Amino acid sequence: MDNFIELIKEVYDEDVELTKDSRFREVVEEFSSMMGFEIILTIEDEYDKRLSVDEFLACDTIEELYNMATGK
Amino acid sequence: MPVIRTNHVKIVGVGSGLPKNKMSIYDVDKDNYFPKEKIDKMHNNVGINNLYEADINQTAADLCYPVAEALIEKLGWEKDSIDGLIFSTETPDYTTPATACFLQGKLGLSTDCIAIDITSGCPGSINTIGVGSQFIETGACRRVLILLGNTVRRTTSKQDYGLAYLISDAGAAVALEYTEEENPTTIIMYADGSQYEKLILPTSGFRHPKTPETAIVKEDEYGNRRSMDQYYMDGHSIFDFAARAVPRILKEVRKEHGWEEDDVDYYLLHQPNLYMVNLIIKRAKSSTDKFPINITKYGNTSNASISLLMNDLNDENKLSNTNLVMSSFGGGLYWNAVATHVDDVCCIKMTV
Repeated sequence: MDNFIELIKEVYDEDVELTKDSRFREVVEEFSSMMGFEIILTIEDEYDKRLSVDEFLACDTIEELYNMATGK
Repeated sequence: MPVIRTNHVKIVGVGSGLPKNKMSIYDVDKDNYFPKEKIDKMHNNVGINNLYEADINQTAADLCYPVAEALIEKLGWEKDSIDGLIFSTETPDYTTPATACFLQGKLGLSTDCIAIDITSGCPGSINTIGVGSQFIETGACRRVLILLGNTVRRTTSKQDYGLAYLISDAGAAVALEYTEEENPTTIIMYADGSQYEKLILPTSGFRHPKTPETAIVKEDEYGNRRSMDQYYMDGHSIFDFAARAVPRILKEVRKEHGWEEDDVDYYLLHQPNLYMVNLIIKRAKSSTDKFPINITKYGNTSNASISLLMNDLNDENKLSNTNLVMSSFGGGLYWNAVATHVDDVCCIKMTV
């Protein structure tokens, strides 16, 4: 989980506090759909798991994203 | 993989022309359909400050013509020495005749000249180099003038957030010439027509003729308002496509050309929006210093964006004895890339 959090942090391009319970769309003021796509691509690169847009939209927290990425 | 290799073609000139009408993105829509906060977001996330718009009676050919004349003069080319003219646009003067023929006549070029249109928006900048280089490599031509232009703003809804605040009109010219000494160049061109609807002007041809019904403005699920007579872009799909395809083709063309990462001085990418460019850079795992950016200055200038990047590099004295990888991508879908060496490129940047 720690590695996953570090990976997602890189998407934000600014220092952010991130835990497994963080709602990733609310971490920065201007979360955009492009950031969402970047998260999907990051997961695909690192976890070899291609999330559909619907699967991504169903996630709210970092932990839910992690579970989707790792198939838990 | 469709790879084109040439050995005796070089880029000897690049020109670009921006219309005189320059506007802040805050002045795009006088009716303020979108709230200021949303425009702020476009400014902050997508990096757009200013856009350029052609006059209502100014076509893509009109944007290119003065650039072509100025570049020909600066190069010192005799008009009758130009034996190839390629015009790439998605906003031609006519569907027939080819606008390349109109421009050939207007420029006073010889009839011993290939003149063809290539229908393309943003990816036209490299598709044309792929075609024009082969005219020279096969011995058909010695000097090919490529003209690139679009006036997409005219058929873009001001209430389409994903386009109206991104797109600029512009014209450009690239001069290719036969060179006796070897100048190895590698070009890769891909297409995915299964996604042709992702970026489309629906009533621009004979498939869906314009009718009073196609002019009716409708609102989509994101609050954008446009008619079928105006450009449509599925921004999510285009973003997803570019973020995957472009980093891959940059690596492919570099390897096919036999270059290591350190051999590349600059990667010149089409400039669709700042976030996308930055993401491609991140995914390409290369140095950010190798990727010049001009989207913040000019907006998305479609197939003129790479010529503008070259002009800006030249202004900084960085376009001499330089190894370039260039890539354009967009509607079609097309994505393409070229690896080549340039030296002593004649450059012109002007208002048209």
